[in-house]
Amino acid sequence: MKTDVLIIGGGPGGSAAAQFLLKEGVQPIIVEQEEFPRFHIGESMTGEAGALLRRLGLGQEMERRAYPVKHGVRVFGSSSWYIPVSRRDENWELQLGSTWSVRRSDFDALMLQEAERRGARMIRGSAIKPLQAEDGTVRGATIRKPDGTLEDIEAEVTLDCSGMATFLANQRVTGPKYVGSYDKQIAFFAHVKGAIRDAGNEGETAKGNTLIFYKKKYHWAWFIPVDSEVVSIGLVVPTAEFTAHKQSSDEFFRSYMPTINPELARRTTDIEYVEAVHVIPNYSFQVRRFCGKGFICIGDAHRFIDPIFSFGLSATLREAEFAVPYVLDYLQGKNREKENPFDEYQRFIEKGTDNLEDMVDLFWEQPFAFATFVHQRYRGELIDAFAGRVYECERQPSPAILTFRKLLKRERDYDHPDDYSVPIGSRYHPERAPLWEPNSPVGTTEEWIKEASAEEVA
Amino acid sequence: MQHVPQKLIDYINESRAPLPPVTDPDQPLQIDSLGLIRLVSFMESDCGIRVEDEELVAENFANLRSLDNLIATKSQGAGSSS
Ligand SMILES: Cc1cc2nc3c(=O)[nH]c(=O)nc-3n(C[C@H](O)[C@H](O)[C@H](O)COP(=O)(O)OP(=O)(O)OC[C@H]3O[C@@H](n4cnc5c(N)ncnc54)[C@H](O)[C@@H]3O)c2cc1C
Repeated sequence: MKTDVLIIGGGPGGSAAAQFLLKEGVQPIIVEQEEFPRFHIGESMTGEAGALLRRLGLGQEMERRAYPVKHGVRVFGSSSWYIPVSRRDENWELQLGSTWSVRRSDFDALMLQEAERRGARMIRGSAIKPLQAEDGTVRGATIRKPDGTLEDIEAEVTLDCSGMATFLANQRVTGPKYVGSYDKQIAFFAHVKGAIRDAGNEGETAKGNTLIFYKKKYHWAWFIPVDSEVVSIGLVVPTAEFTAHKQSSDEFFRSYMPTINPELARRTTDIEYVEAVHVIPNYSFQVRRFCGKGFICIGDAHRFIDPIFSFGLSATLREAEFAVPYVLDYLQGKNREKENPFDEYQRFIEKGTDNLEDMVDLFWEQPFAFATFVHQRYRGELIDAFAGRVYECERQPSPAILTFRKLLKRERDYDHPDDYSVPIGSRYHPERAPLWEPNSPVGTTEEWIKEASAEEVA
Repeated sequence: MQHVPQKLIDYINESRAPLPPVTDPDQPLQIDSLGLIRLVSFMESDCGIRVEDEELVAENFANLRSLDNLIATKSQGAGSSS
């Protein structure tokens, strides 16, 4: 079978890419290995994610499904603050806005159905191997269908939207996959009934708002309404904290979650679990050279930093939209002679995502400075960033992000065509690079230092 | 605490209420984070002390001594004599 564009993975990234391509008259094939609806985590959206859905003409449908309307995010901890969802009007003036949080099984099915209804061809199956020309150009993939038969789908462009399965990275088509800064964290989450949400209809106390609670560095929880009754509650801590407790995931979640913050405890005294506790460890990673001849990796398929500020969906949806003009150019024969036909796109995305990483890092490293910036010094810039506006290159990196870098003693250098996507830690400590490789035998920086100094002695 | 202006000390004591006024330079200020953020803006607008982004670490606002050290580095640089 032949097609212009093959999309591997029918999650939000894949189905959004399909819908944006269809708007331009390109009919892609989507391959999805799972039967939808299926469970997925990642429920709270930024303002820009909501705006993108409206651009796709899905605003009314989102309202009809009565997803909780998110007006902002409230953070409770040693520093407490609120950031409203916002948008920019034609004159780039900040306006208050709203977005949604969703039950992903339902939302992802909606997105995929919509892609299909608008003309994408859906194939159930698993991509198992990329098809490659002699010079490495990706030319599609071999698919294994549910009945076990194999089929080659040839494509001019392959969009890897396979999420954390990182299909092309695992197949070594991309550059190396490094572990990210939050790799030593573990997330537990469950849907519950009976959690106390705020009662308002808008602003800081709106009932659909996302709440974040933190106890101390790297110990935090989320509270995200997914319908009028059910709230998603997540707990994220260093994996070492969990193993030290010697409890099952379920026991640990139930007993530890309320200790994160008295306000969270108050809101969850009388909850009923509507499903088992899920667990995701080591979720943080970054793939180098995630675009190349004939392929682009979108969303989680190349990078996930940390869930704290709900940037995941926003990133994957926006990347899907940004990629489309580059795909169209390529289909028209442009940039094909280049070593990396999508290098401009790759750098654009990498810069935006780096801005997000700097935000998350500063929040944990300097919570007081971060809170002051939210309240006073960089309120507008941070309202933008929380809405997911981190790519708008003529305004980025914003003065806020530049200050964050100064405080983090970090520089971002994009001058080297190949080097810019090296994970932040390994860039400043190249000698520790093995730490950022997946399956590294060295678990922590401390262990590495010990080993390195032992070697020196020997 | 020669560098901390009296009106800043007064402001701190007001913010701590109903706790008693601070007497010991090493005593924790016990002002919550929102209070600290207001303290920073009071320093800037009412005392003319500019707090740089890099200085916004909680340790600088832990007690009167750390605050005094922070302000001292500034008056030195500016050659202020007041
Ligand atoms: C603990 C945690 C909490 C999070 N919370 C939030 C949040 O509150 N807000 C937010 O915005 N984001 C959140 N995220 C991130 C969010 O889940 C992801 O960023 C988002 O789902 C990425 O979408 P995607 O389309 O790139 O990938 P996915 O949604 O993972 O979709 C990938 C799809 O590809 C399919 N697939 C994989 N491999 C193959 C293959 N070989 N062949 C065919 N199909 C394949 C999969 O079945 C899947 O359906 C969170 C993440 C974690 C880990």
